[in-house]
Amino acid sequence: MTVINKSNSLVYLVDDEFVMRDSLTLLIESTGLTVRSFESAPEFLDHYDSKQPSCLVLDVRMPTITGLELQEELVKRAIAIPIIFISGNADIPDSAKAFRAGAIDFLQKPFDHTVLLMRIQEALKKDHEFREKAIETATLQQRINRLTLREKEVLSLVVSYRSNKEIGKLLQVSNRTIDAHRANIMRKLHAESLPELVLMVRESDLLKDD
Amino acid sequence: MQTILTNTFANLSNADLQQLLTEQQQQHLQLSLEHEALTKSHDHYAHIHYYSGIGYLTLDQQGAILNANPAAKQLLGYFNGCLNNKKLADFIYPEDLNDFYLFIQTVTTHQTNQRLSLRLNSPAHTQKLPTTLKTAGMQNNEFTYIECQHTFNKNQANGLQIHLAVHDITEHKTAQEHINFLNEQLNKKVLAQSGELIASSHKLLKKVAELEQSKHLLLEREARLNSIFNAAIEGIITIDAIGNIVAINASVTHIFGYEQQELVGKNFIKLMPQAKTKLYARYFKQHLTLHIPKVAGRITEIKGEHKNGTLIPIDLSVSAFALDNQHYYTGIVRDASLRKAQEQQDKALLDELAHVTRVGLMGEMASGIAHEINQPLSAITSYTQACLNFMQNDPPDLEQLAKILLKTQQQALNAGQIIHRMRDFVKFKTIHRSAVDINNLIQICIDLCGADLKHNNIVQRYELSEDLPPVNIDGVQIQQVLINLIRNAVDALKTLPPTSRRHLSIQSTLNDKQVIEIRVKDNGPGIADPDQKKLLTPFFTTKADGMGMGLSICHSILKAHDGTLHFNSLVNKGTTFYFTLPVRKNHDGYK
Repeated sequence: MTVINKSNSLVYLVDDEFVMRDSLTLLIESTGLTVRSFESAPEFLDHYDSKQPSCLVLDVRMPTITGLELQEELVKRAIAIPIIFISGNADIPDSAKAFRAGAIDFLQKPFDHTVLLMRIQEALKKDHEFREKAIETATLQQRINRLTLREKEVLSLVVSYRSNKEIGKLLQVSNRTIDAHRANIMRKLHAESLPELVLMVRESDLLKDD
Repeated sequence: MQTILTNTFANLSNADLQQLLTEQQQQHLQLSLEHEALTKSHDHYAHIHYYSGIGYLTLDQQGAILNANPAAKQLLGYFNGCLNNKKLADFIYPEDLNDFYLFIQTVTTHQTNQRLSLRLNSPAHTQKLPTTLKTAGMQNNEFTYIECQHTFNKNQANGLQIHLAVHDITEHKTAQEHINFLNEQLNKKVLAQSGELIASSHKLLKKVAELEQSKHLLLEREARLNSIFNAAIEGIITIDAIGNIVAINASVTHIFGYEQQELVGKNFIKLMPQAKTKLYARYFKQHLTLHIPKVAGRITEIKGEHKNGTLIPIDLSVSAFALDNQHYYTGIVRDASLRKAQEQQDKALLDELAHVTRVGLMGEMASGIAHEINQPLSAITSYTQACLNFMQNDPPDLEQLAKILLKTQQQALNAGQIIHRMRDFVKFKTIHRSAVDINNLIQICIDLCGADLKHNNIVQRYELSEDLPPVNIDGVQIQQVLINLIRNAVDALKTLPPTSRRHLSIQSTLNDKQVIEIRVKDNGPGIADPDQKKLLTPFFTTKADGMGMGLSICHSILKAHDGTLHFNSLVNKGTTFYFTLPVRKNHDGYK
């Protein structure tokens, strides 16, 4: 399990009710996390820092822009912050919508605070993982970018489980040449084995863009 | 004598003859003298006859005129020529002829003196009628009246002659007629006057009868009024200008428990407990002289005092009247105990109904209120958990913990308050009215409806005027009105599509008539025209699950508070409900 760096992680809290903001801030801060609370969605969007690992505790019912509307807005802006919804009402359509859009949880007030704190941990972990993943993907991308055109061709065929023989036939080159390309690819992408290479590339979906 | 003379002449001597001749001569002379005297006398009589003012007529037995002197001719209107052998009857007015013939007959047979009055055909020569008589209606006389007097003459030589002295009695007659006429007139006048007298005496009799009748009516009226006076359920008290009781009816004795003799002549203040203090006595004195004319006709509510000391609510109406320059006031007093009891019963029923609907309302609001309570409860658990977490620090920051605990306490109080308000709202109380700050009440209602408003994304705006004077109201019932109006607004706004903005605004103002007005306004779909008329009637609802009692009860509650409930609504624009509450009159003590 990834250890979360508490000093580094941030919990955003958006609720229009002062009492809720104040009490939840104290609660979350009592576990050593840093909280930044906002009264409304626009205020949060203005202050959101994408570089900082974070999660969002979000009230569903708010005047002007509701929690669900903010979630939609974040998807539009490709901000992948994990969200824990809190709501005063058990509203099934709302919660379903929230979950479909990737919410961590949908908590109904008054909720068990250990559950909230657990969900925050989960969310931060998810965010952390996501960020790690993003870094990995970015590194891989950089490495892929260093491949020659022929090497990229060979890689895409390797990832789709073609044998050397097949690849040689398709590219009308000798098996030996393919072997040499594969060795170069392995080296450039820091892959130690063929399965690792395939897994790495397939997960990142990086080749599809070509 | 001649024959004697001739016979004797032959025997006589000259001397004798001489002597005889002398004697003869002497005799002749004497005779001449006598003749002369006679002629003189005849002339004298003839003269009298001719110039006499009295007419003389000589008639034969057949009534033909043998002789007439000028006066007679004039009477007969026959001036020229000879009257001789004319019949006197021809000159007589035909109606009098019979009398005339009878007269002639009597005269000729009995040969006695007779008199007769006759009318002639010839017109009267009398003066014209005096105008006074003419105007009185008297005719001018057409006839000449005469009186004939017959004198019997014994020395009738040439057969029987009738000598008539005729004189004109027209004037006499006329005068008589005038007298008669005047008498007649007088009689008539007397008759007429006596007629008038009779008529007026009739009138008087009739008047007397009428008076009798009206006296009877008056008596009847008095009897009737008396019976009304005494049978009236309302007490009737008449007082004089200084407040002494002049008259009371039977009901007064029933209402106040005093006997009639205990009240008449006493001051009416005896019946008015408020009048017991000097201040009130003065007030009533002024009231009596100055204000009664103003309050006449109006009904005022006062407290009366029964002989046994209990207070009686009384409806009083006063009217003033003046008799012989004295002012009197009549007060009609109605024992309002029953009405008061009825009013109280009505109020109790309204209270009960209001309570029942309030409980129902609370049921509808329960989920919203549960949410309202959730809020502080969530906060409390958060705060306490935070405290527990902070306590694990070494050393724990006690100051921080105290701060959080204070916040926790506040939230617990908040939750308690919501429950308290909710319980107050549903509780059935019998002691109601008190001085209430309406803005505070509005805030409580907003709090109770807060969850609903938030849940439906309603933008709220409040314009509550500061320093509003307190209103004397049953706070819970007015809360019910406000919550009803707010919930109606929420229900209306809910029907708007989620994309449209939902606004609710509540205003409180004091208008220039010292009435507080509260407006609850939404921008919902509005109320259709036909529904508007039925809106305040019981059991009318536009909601699928509504009872139709909400607004009807609001209306009743406000009426019981001397307030009003109105609304304006425009389809697709929104609805504004506004209600008024009178300001507590002696609010100075509450500021």
